[in-house]
Amino acid sequence: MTKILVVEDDIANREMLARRLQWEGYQVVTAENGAQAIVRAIEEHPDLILMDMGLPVMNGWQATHRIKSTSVTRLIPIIALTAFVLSSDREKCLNVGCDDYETKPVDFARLIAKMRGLLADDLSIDVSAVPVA
Amino acid sequence: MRTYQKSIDEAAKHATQRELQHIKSDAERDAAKAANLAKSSFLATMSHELRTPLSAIIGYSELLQLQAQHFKHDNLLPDIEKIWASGKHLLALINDVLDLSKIEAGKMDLYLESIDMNSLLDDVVSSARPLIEKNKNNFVIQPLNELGMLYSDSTKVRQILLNLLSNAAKFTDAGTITLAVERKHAQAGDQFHFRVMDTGIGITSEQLTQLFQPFTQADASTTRKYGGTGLGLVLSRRLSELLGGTISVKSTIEVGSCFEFSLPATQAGQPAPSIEPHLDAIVPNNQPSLMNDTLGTVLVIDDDPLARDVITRYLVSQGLHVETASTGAEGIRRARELQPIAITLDVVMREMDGWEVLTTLKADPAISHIPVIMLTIVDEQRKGFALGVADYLVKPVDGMQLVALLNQYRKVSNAGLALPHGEILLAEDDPQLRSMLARLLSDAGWAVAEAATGPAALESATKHRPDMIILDLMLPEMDGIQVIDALRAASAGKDVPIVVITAKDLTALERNHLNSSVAYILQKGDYRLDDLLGMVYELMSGHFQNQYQQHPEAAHD
Repeated sequence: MTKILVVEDDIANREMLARRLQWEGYQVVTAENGAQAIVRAIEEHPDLILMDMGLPVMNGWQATHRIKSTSVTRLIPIIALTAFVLSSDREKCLNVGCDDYETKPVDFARLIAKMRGLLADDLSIDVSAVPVA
Repeated sequence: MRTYQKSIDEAAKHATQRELQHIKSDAERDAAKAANLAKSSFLATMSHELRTPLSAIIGYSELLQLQAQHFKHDNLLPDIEKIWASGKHLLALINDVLDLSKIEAGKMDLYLESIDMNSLLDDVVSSARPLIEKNKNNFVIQPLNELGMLYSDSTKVRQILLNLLSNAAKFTDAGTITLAVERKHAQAGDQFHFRVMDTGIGITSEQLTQLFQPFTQADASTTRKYGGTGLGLVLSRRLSELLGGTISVKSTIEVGSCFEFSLPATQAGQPAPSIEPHLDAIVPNNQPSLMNDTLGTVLVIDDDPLARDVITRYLVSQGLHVETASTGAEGIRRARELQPIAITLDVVMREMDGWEVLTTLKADPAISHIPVIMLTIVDEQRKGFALGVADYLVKPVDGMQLVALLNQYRKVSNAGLALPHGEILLAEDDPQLRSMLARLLSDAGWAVAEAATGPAALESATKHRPDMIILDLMLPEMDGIQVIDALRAASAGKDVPIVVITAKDLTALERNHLNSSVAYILQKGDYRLDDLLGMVYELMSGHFQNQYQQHPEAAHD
């Protein structure tokens, strides 16, 4: 079963996203802050991560940067979820290594479409170009 | 003499008064500035605070709809739909109120970029169509010519057009809504003229005067019948003014209305968009560039020397190394030689065209993995992806977009990211716990030195100063407190941050002693690994914390 890591600090939204993803047939694990997200990513090896950007302890940009630069987790696709809609925010998400970007409140149909795209790609982009760590 | 003294006194008094006046007006200005700042940060926080629970309401109501359908509780659907629709409506209102307050506080920023007008309109039309067709309306789009480029803020232009179209849809039933767009050439600069015409209820001349005032719909009864607060039009007008445009309206009651929105094709002081790539406008980039020249060579294949030059200059300014090729054959040869991280490939070239080059690149296993970004004037996206293109940009190339794409390929080979790195000394006598923690830390990217006893920890730390220490207090031969005291006494270990993990309850004395010399104390069995990891990041990466300064609003996200 495809496993999704949901990183979101607001409990209602975290559970809402988890429930909706479960309803779509995904297995869901959750984290409440950026540091927890890194640990879950290492332990659980999810197929994809949905990452809120404004998180306590360590924010989403930092956590993403870390996950994308840690050998065992760097190929996990990450979709940033943010309340900011400016193109500079989008740029910032992509700069730290997010694969895609969705604004909050989430348009669920669009999010699922993006997730399917990334899960189907399965990193076929460029795996062979990755230097062996 | 007395008069003289008096006039000095007078002068001094005046001076003091002037100074006081000055100080007072300075203080007033500062206070006003502070109040304004407080207001806008309050609004940002508020809107976020309102949106967070609202997004849970909307999300759960969508989930409930699915569940009701699945479990055959269709009778519940209309009620759930109302919760959902009200949530969406409230969200739209919050967004509008926030936007209006931002404009009023002078805080609405413009994000100017070159926009392909036809594709922006395609997008607007497909978003508006369901709204318009809901009231059994016909949606007519007058034939659009090639409209060319617009230099403006695409989000705001889209918002204005959608507002006008949804407004027309709201007040028209089983009628026709027409969108017409043209580009008018003028000496002072080109203008776009958008017209949104409906065959709806119309607006009386009396109502027209109030139309663009906040919270005044044409008639109080319209609010009851049609909903909304009338913020959409107010916001549209304010936004259009911000972009240098105007909105006007003509209407006949019972016949329909026509809203006309004019927008300059370029913004004052901005370069006119042309076929020339507008790369100069966005260099230097204010984002921290994560590109690293030791990592990235990009191969640019283009037969046009000007295009080669522009792209090269832009990528070099981003810290990339660029090699160029002026023909397809040369490009293929250089790709084999250079093994670049990515290739940009022009479609239209003499001799061997881009498609042929692409097919050859993808057929050679030695270079087929290199992502190719096609640059083209014509929209042939499908063909590109079918032939194995990684990405695809339409000329004139948007430099930001190109860099964002390259960033994606670059990030996979992570050597280019400026990461904090460092070594952690892990002193723990339990072998299982030690190896678990060591694995966690090294998986997270840190170098780990291990020690099983107090003296071993001390020796390791003095020989090679670690960047931080995780220390179990109950170590054999020499306990943790002794290790800390010895380290703090030695010059080398004086300021290494330490996190203490303890299994025993500390006495007040021990706790006091530790508090003054270590960063954190964790109780064994009572802390979570991510807490520990969080502390590690915090202590290891002062510079890292600064690297991605939070968005001012992000703290509340």
